[in-house]
Amino acid sequence: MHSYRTMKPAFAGLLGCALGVATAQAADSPLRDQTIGYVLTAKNVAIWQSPDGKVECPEGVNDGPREQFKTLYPPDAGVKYKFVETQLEREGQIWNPTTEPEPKLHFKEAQGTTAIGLNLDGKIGPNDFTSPDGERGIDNQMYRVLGCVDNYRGPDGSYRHFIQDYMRKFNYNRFLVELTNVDDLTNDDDVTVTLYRGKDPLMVDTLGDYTPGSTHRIDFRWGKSFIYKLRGKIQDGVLTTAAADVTFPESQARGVPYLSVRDWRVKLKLTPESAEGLMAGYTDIERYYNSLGQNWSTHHRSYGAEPMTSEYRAMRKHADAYPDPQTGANTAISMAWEIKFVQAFILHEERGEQAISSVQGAGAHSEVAGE
Amino acid sequence: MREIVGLMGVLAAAFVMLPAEAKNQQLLEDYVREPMPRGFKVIVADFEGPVFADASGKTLYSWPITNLRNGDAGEQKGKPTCDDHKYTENAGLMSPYPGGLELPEVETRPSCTDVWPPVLAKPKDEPVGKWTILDRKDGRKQWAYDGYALYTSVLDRGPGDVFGGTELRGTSEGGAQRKPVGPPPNVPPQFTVRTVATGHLLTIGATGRSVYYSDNDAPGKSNCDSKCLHDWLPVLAPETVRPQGDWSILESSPGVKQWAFRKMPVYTRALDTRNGSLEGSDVPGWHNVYTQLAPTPPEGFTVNDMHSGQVLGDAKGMTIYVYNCNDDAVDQLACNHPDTPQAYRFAICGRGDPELCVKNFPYVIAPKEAKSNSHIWSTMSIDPQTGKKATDNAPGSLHVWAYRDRPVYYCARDKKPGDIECDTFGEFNGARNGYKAFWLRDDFGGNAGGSR
Repeated sequence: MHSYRTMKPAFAGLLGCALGVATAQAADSPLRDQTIGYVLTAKNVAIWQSPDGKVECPEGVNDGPREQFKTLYPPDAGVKYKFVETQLEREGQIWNPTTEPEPKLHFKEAQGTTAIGLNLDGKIGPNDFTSPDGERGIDNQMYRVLGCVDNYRGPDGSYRHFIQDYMRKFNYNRFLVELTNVDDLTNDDDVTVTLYRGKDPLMVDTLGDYTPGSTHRIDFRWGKSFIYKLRGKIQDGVLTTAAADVTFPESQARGVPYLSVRDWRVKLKLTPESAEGLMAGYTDIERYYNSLGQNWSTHHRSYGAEPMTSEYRAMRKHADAYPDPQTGANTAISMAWEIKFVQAFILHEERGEQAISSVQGAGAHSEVAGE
Repeated sequence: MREIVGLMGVLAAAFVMLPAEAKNQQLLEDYVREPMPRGFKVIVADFEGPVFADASGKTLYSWPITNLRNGDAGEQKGKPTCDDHKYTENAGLMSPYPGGLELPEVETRPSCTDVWPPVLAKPKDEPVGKWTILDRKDGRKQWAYDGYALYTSVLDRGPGDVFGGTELRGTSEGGAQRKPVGPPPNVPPQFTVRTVATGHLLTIGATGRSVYYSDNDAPGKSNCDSKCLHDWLPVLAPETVRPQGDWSILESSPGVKQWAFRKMPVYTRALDTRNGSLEGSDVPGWHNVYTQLAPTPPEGFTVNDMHSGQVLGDAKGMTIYVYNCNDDAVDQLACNHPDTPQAYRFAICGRGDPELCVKNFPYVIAPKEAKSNSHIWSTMSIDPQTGKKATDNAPGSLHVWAYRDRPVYYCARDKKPGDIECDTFGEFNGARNGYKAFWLRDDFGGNAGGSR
């Protein structure tokens, strides 16, 4: 905290400058000094979909804000509606959600027993799912909530589009994973996994695909709260990490653009060029709900038919972890994301030849339109 | 302007923008002297910089057409539409909700011209330069600048008030808003000035790159050696330019001319990756160049780091919030002022319950003896039950801080300095009807008026 009158910005990159640069190793190896980095290029809420969607969403997908408004206030009812009693009432409900019933609205939860995710508690419970490849005990109660919401469903759910679009457009969400103490990228029972927020653009090839080998500077100026050091192991080329409470940057720099996940962990298939798999944990419901409202906008919810107030009730209903000590009600809900990375060189210094090359031509960010 | 001249010392102390030699000299933005009709003048406002004003000192505004979610609102050049019609229904310009809903406090809702009186021309007035005269539908003549019809705001009470609108970059999600109108800044063609939360930031026009100066230089002399030049790129001046006003030229090496602003050599930064970056100011001894700084908040307010920049906080560092609201009628009247209907705000902060609103978004209480050094910060008495202004010392009233003549707030969810749990809380990211943190710097997004 600085007095406004004596405001003097802190130094950039001090922490980073204290760290060294990789030593020489085999020139064709992605491991440099037992280290490999990756940068996130895709993230989607894990939604299992049957071929025709009938298994999980037999009634179809949910209504969105526009449709719910029509249900609540039918335009052909012959009523002269008042702004305060309709639109403002609805906005008030969205920003001040409750678990009171919504008798006129019907929310469609995802059905069935199949879901993508991880077994977070190590148990096989009555409400757990089975993964598409047969693993039992999958904890992903958020799938019940979001599984039939168009925003999240593939291939063209609105959030699926925008999250990837923002991944490319913005730097706020640059999510770096660095593996150190790696002896072997296929099997190593003790590696260190460090999470950072980066600050450089993603690199794409002429076809628009993300390419491995780009350089990313760590955001030590503002991103200290996103740095985590975790224990991990690699088995048959799959990295898993120990559970830890993690906060990571969300899709765009609006509102409260980060998510806090309890018992967060990853399961990633590693190659020298990429990493792909799942991250999962227990999401704080209040934080997640507010992120939905604050990070995204009313029109995004309309595009993807996202009924926030109904989702809130469903999140509360299916919450499965971290009970409130006073009320006993669970405050968090199990959730999973599908994620993809490409290999990247993570630069611990602000200044370096690789950093220079990474910013050439990156100065002209276009203004955002038509989101 | 007297009040602003009095601010100059404060401004110089706020950010170390100029070396000691230059302190207390010209700190207000210079502007291009254009021909203008009699009866108008330029006032250098404390945040907006040079703005046009009428003879009584009231700031002039235009209402440029803006593309909203479901259509356009505002005025095209040469076509004033703000009239005395009192709209009773919303227009449905913002999805997902339909138009045709009866507006709040409809019985007393003012017309557009009640809130935005047109700047009328007299019969013998003649166009001058960019100043033209338009025909209104009511038969009267109205002044226009650069084609856009001109208005004053009923919110402005005296010279230097610019409460009707701002040039600070927002989004169209905030509706079609009125903008103060003023002369262009007097900068060489290769530069441009961008209004950001901390002031009028000097940038390179073609690239948007920020412009910096160094404490290590001296007036009229660059001391940037070869190592320095690796990171800092002198802004070169064309061969034939001449010094003018705040601008001069130095020969940083034989035959190489470099621009100097207020005598200090100026540079861009090689490592900047975004337009309007403030990152170079993190390097010790280096500073962004502003043609005019934003006025400092009153004593006791603080600057606090968060996950992508800095926000304004109170003395304990708790984040300050502003409330934004534009209604959805054709004439797009603001609803974020204590004189406007409070039903909008009450819906967001407490589902219509004023007491819940005070709990969720408490007012920022100002000491009784609190004083502001600028037009843009003030104190006012508020009745928290109605959200409207109260007479001083009225029972139950609160004496609160106000920014741009609107109260500022806390967020009850914030637990520590730098928390912004209620940023973009409300419709359309808090721009249409909701709260936004008081951003001062955003290195990743456009929250402080910079680019994303």
